[in-house]
Amino acid sequence: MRRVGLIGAGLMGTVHAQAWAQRPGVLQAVYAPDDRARAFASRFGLTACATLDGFWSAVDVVDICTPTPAHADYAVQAAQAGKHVICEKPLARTLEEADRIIGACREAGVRLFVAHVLRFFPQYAAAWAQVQVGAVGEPRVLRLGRMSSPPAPGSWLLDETQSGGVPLDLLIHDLDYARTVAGDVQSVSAVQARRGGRVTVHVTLSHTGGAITLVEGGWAAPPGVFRTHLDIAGTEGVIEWSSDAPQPLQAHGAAPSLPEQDGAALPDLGADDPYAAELWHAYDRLDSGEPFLIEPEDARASLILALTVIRSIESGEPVEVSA
Amino acid sequence: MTPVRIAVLGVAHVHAEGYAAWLTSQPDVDVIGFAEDDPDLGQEFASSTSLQLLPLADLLALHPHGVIVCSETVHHRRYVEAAAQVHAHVLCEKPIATSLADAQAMLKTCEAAGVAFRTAFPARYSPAVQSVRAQLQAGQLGTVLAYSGVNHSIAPDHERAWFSDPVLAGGGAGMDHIIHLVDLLRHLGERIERVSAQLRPVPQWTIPGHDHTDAAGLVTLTLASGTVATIDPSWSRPRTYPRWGHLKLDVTGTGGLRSLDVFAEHLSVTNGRGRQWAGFGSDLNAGMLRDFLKVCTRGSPTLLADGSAGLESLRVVLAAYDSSRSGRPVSLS
Repeated sequence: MRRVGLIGAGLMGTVHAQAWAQRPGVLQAVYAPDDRARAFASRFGLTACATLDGFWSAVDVVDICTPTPAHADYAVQAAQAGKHVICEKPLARTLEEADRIIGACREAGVRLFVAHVLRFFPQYAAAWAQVQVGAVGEPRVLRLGRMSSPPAPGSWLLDETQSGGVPLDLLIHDLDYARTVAGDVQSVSAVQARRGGRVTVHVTLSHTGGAITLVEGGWAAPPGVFRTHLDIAGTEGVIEWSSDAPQPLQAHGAAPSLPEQDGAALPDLGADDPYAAELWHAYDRLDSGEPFLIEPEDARASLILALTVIRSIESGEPVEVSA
Repeated sequence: MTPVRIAVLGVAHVHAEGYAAWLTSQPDVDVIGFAEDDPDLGQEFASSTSLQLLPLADLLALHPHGVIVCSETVHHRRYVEAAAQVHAHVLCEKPIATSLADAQAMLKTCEAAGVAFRTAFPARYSPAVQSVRAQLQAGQLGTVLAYSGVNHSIAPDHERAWFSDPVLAGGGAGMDHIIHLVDLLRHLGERIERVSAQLRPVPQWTIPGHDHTDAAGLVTLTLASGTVATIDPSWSRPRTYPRWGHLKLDVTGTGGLRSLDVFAEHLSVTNGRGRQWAGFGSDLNAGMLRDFLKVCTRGSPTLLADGSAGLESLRVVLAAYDSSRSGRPVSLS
């Protein structure tokens, strides 16, 4: 059995640890240089490794759930230690850092999986499957939305030099999905609005194959709200879904209790945890040797798209996407 | 690990194909083949599933660990008794029989042979069903006043004619659809005391020649807890409906109101063929079949309905037919 070790004991680290727990014994260690990580280790019954050297010798696969700017250094060191790398999205804050990670993994002969989880959400996977069997013909106009409450005050996500803000942390999900469904993107046009600590972003993508996509959303919803929607209109039909649709079990009139928010908000995971689905996908394909659903070049292309969105917002102009 | 050998006995039920598809995709299962009396249906199923059609005796001579009985309801007993003779565990489609006598005989045979008899009630495996059950058990909904259940569908006899043949199915929509919600109510901890029902044909909904089979129905149940429940089992959705139908249950309690819509999670797909709801929720059949595999390997299933659940829910369905014929409520002792 391959031993997995976690770096990062925040919100995403917790989500990943809960998913790994589906197969007891796989997640063994956490890099724990501080009290928070040591408490995390005891909560999940993991070995707390105080040093990176100790950590590398305790694991075969490294799962990186740190804030984005720390991805590159940990991933490069993990690769140099001969460990396969699973890394939260976005792969890195800059393209240079992303290329440093991809290069180090290639050189060390280890594999790299970037956790673009949206492709493992059942409704997004089902919509992609419908497109693939031709249910709507050729995709022509996509609308993809993702509106969350803002990260908690003090969260590193609010420092956009670190997180890349809404485009890089939040909308990269839909940018990646749009590329999956409608192909490579030629140009990006984006606008952003800010009022009282809230942010919205609207992006229009022109795909090389002729489709256009609106990706919209932001950190502007009331506390506890996370709304998403997809609408894929093709030459022969349309696929519609919205998180506003009634859930299988609806409570009427009862005051919903708001879970405490740590960092970003997460959409309702439902019974079939998509984070577990993506992690086991990566884990099992390390064994089988088959390609990942998201190879490093895909994650790199999605990062380029998100960075291009930021450039378009800053310049107020459409920006051509360069490889 | 030795794969679990599974045989499908009878494939006339529309669920057979879905079960076969899931089972053949599992690395720890060997689907050794299927039996089917109707040669045309047998050929059709063999070509759509790539499974082997064998005479029943030959199939059972391969010693399956478990069998899944998906024949016309009236033939369940013959298949179940044959399976018990070769010590195969049984998962039986619902309703398990068209008469209490057949149901009781099957259970007795299986018990004597030392094999498990289980009933196919996949709705129990819905995470939403489990949530509402936990809320009820924790008292979060207070005391329940009423349940309102709906199990609508398009009449399935357009796909498989036997569904509306009273001899083969024992009835129509009432036989097909009352039972899922009865089992859910029982699964939620309720006991049914009295049944009152109106079941009637709607020839426009069923296939020609089956004009006298019930296609519409409304059932009212009085529960031992003092709660009332209604069930609408009608084949009342037109063939252009975006999906086969629904399974819904509203729960009205002194502490809260809940709506359960087991198949709520879907994409809406509209194209030249009309509109379809493509589901993306949990695979309920997978949960149920996984549990049956545990039975076959002597593990402990978690939610899989036993033979008595199949028998007791059938008792309620038959009482609904009695009530509909007599126009009077029927008490269950």
